[in-house]
Amino acid sequence: MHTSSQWISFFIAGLFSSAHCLVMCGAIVGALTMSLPLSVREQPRTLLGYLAAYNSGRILSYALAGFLAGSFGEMVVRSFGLDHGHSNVLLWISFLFLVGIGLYIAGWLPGVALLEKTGIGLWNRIDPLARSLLPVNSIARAVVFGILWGWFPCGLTYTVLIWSATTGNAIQGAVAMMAFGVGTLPGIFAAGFFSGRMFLFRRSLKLKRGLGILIILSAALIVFQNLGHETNAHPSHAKPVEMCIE
Amino acid sequence: MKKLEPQLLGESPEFLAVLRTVGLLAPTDVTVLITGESGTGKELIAHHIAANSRRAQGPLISINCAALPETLAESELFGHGKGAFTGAMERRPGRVQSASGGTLFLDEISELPLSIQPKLLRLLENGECQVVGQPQVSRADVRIVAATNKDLAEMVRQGTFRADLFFRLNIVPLELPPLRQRQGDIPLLLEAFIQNFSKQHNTPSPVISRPALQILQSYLWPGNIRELRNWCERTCILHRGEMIEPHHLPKEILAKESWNDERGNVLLHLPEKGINLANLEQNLIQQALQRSSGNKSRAARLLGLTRDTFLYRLKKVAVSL
Repeated sequence: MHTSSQWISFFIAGLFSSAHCLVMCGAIVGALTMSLPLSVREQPRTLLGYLAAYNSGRILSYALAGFLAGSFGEMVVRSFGLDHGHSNVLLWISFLFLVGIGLYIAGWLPGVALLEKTGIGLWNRIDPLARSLLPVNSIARAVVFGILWGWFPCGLTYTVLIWSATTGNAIQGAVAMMAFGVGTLPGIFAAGFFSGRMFLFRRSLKLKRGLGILIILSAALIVFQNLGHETNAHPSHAKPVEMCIE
Repeated sequence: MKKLEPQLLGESPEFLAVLRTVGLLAPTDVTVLITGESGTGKELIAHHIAANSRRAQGPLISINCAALPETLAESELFGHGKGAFTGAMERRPGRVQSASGGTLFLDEISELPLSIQPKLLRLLENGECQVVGQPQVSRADVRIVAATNKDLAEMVRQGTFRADLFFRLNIVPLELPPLRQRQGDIPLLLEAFIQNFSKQHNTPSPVISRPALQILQSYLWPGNIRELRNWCERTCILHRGEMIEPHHLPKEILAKESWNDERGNVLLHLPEKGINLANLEQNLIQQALQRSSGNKSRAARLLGLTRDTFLYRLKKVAVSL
């Protein structure tokens, strides 16, 4: 599987999870936005700066988590000698994760939320520190709050994190989680700017279903595109498939 | 963080997500809108926010907007000056001023008269309020926490709630899940309530048998945690130290289990006052859709209908998805 396709998959997972992000983090984004001084809120540029700072911190934490997950994946790949000829396996793993995320977003696989329990212990330690930073009154503080916010327990993020481990490489794991975080930005930014109005959409079952189906369709598209690419690259199928990690 | 009330215990992901969010936003001064069915613990969440905020030392003033008569609502909220209206013999501060430096909890915000809504919006936007009968505008340092069990978005569409106020309130929405969506939390809540009430009434705790627990977990609890809490208190008083078996459970809880007997005879008894069949049908369809996560075929099966009949009835009662 090509690295760019892999990143696109992670980006898509983040992008089409907007409805989920609005439910899980919408209130936090609203609180962060509204607790800023009026002078900041009235200036779209300044507000954008703060939203960018919060989210940079959040994505930084995702990248760190992805790095750790990727390192673990790398260790597993080396231990079991899987570092050659497994690109199709990774492609299908990515497909399954994306389909699972699509089903979860659509509300057809609610069990994913149970994964959140794994992060509760860590969050209980982080929470007092995060609360001590409120109200956020400087960009630096916003970045630090964002870094802590990145560890907020979320079944979807944990699923993507497990998926990032399958990249089998620390750097790629970090980049994959960054791509996911960047994908979540439009939804989170919209929640910050349009706040009250955005929440009208978050309860829409049709929207959730639509976004879930889009993720599943994207997964299918990525698989077919990659399989087609590999078939063209190796028409005879005589040679083994190249390593997935470029 | 202050210790949680038994009503705020739970392990379901939706509920824990709300509690984590509450923990993060409590120290800020932002307005919060708590939504959820009656009995889900909205008031407790409001108290929890106030107790964990920087205003914890300040007053917490609660107002039930449904109990405010329209003619007195403005004066009750913002106060009035001497001679502002007939009977205003002296100056009286409003609830907003009384909550200064603390938190104002507006319960059942959906019932706030339309004529007062722009004044509340002004308070939310600029912290300004005007005492009835006084020309000058005063400022109030108060945090607003509002709650409702109504669908405010729908009320905005129907023109019974102001859109601008709704959007201003809805910036930080907290949605409490009903107990039927937290069935896994029922054993935990039962244990906490029973321990609490046994201690309060100084009685030995009753023990819930496994079959009784299964029935309690499958009951829909329309009154949510409040209903569960009341049942626990009654049980602690009436069945002190006993093993609670299914036959100890009240009729309304058992009714769901025994909708039909073995011969298919319907065991639902028509109440003395009668029922509104159309409302009942709409409610059952909504419950079936919620339980099946919107899957119409599954919802139809839950109601013992074919998909076509279900779709026909769905269209007839116009249940919004």
